[in-house]
Amino acid sequence: MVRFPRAEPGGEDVATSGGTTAPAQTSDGGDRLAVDKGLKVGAIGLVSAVVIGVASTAPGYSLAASLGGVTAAAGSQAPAIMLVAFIPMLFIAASYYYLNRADPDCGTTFTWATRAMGPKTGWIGGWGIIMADLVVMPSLAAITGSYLFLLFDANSLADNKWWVMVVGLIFIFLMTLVCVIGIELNARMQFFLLSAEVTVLLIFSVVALYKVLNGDIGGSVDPTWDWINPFKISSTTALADGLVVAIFLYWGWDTAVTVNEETKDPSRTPGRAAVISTLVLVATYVIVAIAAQSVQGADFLTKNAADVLSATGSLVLNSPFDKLLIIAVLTSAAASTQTTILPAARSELSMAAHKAAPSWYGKVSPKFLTPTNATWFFGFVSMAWFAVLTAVSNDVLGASILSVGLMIAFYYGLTGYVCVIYYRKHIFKSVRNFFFVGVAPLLGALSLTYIFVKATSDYWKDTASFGEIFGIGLAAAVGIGLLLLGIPLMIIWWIKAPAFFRRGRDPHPHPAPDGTGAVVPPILDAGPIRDADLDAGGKNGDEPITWTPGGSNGE
Amino acid sequence: MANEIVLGYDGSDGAKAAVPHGVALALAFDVPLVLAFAHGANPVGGVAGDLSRAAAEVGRTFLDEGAALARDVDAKVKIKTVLVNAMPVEGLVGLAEESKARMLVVGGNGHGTLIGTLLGSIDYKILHQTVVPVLVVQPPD
Repeated sequence: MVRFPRAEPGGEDVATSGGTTAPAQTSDGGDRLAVDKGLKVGAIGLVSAVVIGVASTAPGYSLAASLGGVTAAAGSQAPAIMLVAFIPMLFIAASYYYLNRADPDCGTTFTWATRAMGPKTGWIGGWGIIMADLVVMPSLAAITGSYLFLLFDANSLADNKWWVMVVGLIFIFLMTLVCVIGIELNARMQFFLLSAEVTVLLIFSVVALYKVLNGDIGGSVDPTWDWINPFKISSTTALADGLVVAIFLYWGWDTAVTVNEETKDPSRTPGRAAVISTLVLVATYVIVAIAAQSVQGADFLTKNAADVLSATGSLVLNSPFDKLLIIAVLTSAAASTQTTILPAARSELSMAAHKAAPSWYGKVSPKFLTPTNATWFFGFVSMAWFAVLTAVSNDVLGASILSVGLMIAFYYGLTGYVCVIYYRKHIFKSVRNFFFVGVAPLLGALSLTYIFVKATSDYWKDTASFGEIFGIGLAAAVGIGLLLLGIPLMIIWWIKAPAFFRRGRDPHPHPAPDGTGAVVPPILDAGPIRDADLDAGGKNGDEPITWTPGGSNGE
Repeated sequence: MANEIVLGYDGSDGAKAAVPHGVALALAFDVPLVLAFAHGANPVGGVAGDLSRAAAEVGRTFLDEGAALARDVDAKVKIKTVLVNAMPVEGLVGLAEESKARMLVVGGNGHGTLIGTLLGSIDYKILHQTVVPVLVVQPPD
């Protein structure tokens, strides 16, 4: 695989290119040490790749946050929506997979859109990612706040948005701290927590369905096949509004695909991990949706959107087992918060590293090796945003879930178009290319565009559900307003630091989707951002060898 | 490479305190001293290209600093520097084992056991996870 040599200060290229392994120059046979290309290769096995994919999607929290929203839009066809929503997600994941092969940069959509469509589109794409991450934070915090109160049976506090806000703010602060310090659960612990989460959700579903079919729960509704039949969805409005919420359920799944560069067997592991995590997620969502809906019908879920799993859980599982469900949601929310803060901070870092944002955001702490400024900044803006939304909206959770759906549809859709445009000269070269970098990304992008436009117009008119700003429904106002806010900010940065905006699109030839054929040029010819203080330390001629566990560099 | 002394250097007080011991061992056994800096990004955060590069940059500076410190101790010592692209524990242990190092030297974090436990003390984990003999040097109080 050909990869561009990373520009390193001083002009040395540490990366390999042309698929060759640069020999490590050591005095006594340094053949064990292979120079790598800046990624951890050989680090992740199949199980870990699946765990990362599913944990990044956070099924427990995603269900708790959005099940009520999906039933609100699509009624009894919520399980069908869960099924349908995966399709655009799958198509967009193909874009992630192939664009990542061209340039595995943590800017993702920002970097790729810059290459394929130019710096302005790229900048707005990066802005879209950060805003999606920002907008979901109130939901994470609100879920954590109310479920934490519910865990201790403090039901009145769970309904009080100010108390929920206090707990949520503390939660965001602590999770930001965790990301700054770089504390991470080891693989075994993550595997355990995730298995527990999925197991609890399945136990809940099995018990619920058993009791419903036995007639043990008063007011229950027997499931029918219509629930999972997409053609029974009542209208395009129900479909689009349901999908924009349900996309959120699969958000983060692309991580399973993009960590592929770092897996032990890059030719097989990512594909298998993607398939397994897909099956786990789709099955979990559909089964839980059917079970939850059968307990008291779809309307009950809509009415209890803020604590949907807790409300149904207490009807299904006897105390104290209903608390297991709450704990599963809480651990899932914590994991999800981490998978929100980390990529947001990394996008800021990437934009700063490519001079598309102030270099302040690109500073990496020498102690923790994390982008500390970017992380703290994101954490504090999230806290402010959560506080503002709590004050403005009657239903922080509902409004933020709807608007995050818009953001995701925006930048996932953009990524689909980017894939088609970037690989346009390769699409017709093979059947495989035609489907995987042509048809699939384009269908994904078109369906997300449709969902984005339709849902925006529906939310625009909906001033009743979550409150309004200037006569515009809150969800649309937040979603569109925050995206548009990017434009003046981009113009300001354009005037202040025009270097990034002077680059055009990447010249042809682009590499083929399998990574061969051409070298990807750097975004800017400048080296990576460095802390000016650290810069002062002089070099003494010892260029370090780069070493990665596993021996080979995976080529 | 084999039989070397591998020293994990991250610029901390413990690592600085470990340098003279690493140099003394390398000279005593007449082998090179390998200064290693390990950096890895949390895979849960997704792709880490830029972050890895920025962290490697930090590591480069530390390795320069560590090499200079070691030469100050004794200019005769032969030094190699390695950037390890993995989390500190698995990275240092992996490097030491794969290169069949004679000994792995790391600085202690100087924390009490409680903080060490909460934050995951690297020297403690290394001590228990490798067949390579480990020397832990605590920073001066």
